[in-house]
Amino acid sequence: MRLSAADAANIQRDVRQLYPDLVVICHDGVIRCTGSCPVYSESGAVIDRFSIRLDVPLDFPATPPRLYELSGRIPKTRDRHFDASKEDKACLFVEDEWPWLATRCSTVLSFLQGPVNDFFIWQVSFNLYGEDRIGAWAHGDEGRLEFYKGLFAIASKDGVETALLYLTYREIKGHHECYCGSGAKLRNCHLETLRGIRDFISTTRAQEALNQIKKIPKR
Amino acid sequence: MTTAEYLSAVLKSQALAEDSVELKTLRAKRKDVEELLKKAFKDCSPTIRYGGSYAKGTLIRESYDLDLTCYFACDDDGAGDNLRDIYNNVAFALSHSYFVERKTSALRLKGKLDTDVAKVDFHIDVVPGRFTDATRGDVYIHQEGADKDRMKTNLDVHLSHIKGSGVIDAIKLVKLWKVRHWFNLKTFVLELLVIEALSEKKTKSLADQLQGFWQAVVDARGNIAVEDPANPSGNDLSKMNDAVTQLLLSNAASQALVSTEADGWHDIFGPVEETSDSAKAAAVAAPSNVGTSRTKPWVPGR
Repeated sequence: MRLSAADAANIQRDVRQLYPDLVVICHDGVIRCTGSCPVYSESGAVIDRFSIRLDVPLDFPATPPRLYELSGRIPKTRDRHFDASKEDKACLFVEDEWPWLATRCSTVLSFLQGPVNDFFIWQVSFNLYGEDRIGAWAHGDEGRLEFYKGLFAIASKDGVETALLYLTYREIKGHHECYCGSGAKLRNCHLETLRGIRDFISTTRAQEALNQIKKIPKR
Repeated sequence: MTTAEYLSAVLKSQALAEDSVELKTLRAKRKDVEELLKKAFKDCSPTIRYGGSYAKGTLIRESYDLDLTCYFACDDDGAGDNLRDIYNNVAFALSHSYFVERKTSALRLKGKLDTDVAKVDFHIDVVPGRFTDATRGDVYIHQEGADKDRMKTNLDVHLSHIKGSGVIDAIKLVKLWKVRHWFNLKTFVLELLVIEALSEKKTKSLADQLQGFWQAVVDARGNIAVEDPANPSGNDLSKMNDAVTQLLLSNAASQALVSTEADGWHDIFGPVEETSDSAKAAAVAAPSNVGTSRTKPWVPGR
């Protein structure tokens, strides 16, 4: 179900209590939230603020929103996780992660409270210490590989490639050797895990991810 | 907490200590920029002075800036034959070290691209200009893309008008309200409006002053008109803010009056923030919400 201009008012209402200074309008084919965004600690205290623009596409949550930091307080560099090729869009997570995140961030409010708040917590930490002390994904496809290693709970690049290869198949059958390296057949090992992951990742996306990860040189 | 105590706490949370990172950085950058300009125009001896909220005493943590005027003598064309040339030549000189964002009369300095401070806003506006005469009081500054291509102004008049207004705290809170609502409104015009609206209310409480200001905005009905004390008849400040911005401002002022008349001051400025470094350190060290892990940032490409 696509969002429409009428949803802007509903979103404004939803976010008002925690994000009272965000103005939500429909603009240029997106729902746009602009204004001062508080950064919340776990206890609910406001520890910092950043001026932002959050562009929510009308097919959200199929496509994630795009965040831009407007107050000029964060260098727009790759090391601070901004993509200069996309007008300095903030990169809140590995893009492959979105189908999973969308299950718990399917509203604008939960997106603000989740990935947006986490992103700024990381930035506040970096501003404090001058280095990453929380943890971020590696840049580019290395980060993508890290994500898939975590997803499949395996340590090897070969294992990730095998798992992704299986995900490109129209049907995942149990007679293949499991990607985890146990030597067992899938049906006796991680078949159900892989089928569960299949719910979130299309064969096309799996093929794209496989192509990208294959380009990473072996160490 | 009373309203007075709450507003006082909000003001305190917005204060920037002299030894804060923000002001130390600002002062260091100010020194660099001054040296750069003096070197670039060593044959012209520009007069470099400080303005902006830093000089006016109106800076707040969420909105602060330093204006550096770069004024040349009335009979010196070493920096350019005319005001536009001076504006462009100063921009060019600054571009060697900064990403220069051109505003109507000022040059905003940001981190140079391809550096580890790319596009970081340094909160410094350099304002090139030329004195109108040998007294070095009034100045002509260039106006890029405006109806009139130059404006006459006077830094000392502006500074003393603001500093002597007696309503600095009200100005600071109105600025905070403006920043939070992301109004695309000239801060200088807002400051003048606050001073004019509160000319008879200097002894009132801060809460009464803020409500007085919002009432003045509502009464203006989207047609804010204030005089520039540096050039009352010459500078038409009403054109500095477009009609949409004025309408948004008027609506927001109206809502602010409704909220505060029902004692909803927290609706305007939110909770008083825990912005100490120790509070931030504790917050970033804390684990994420139970059952979920924090998302981690990333960036595509090589």
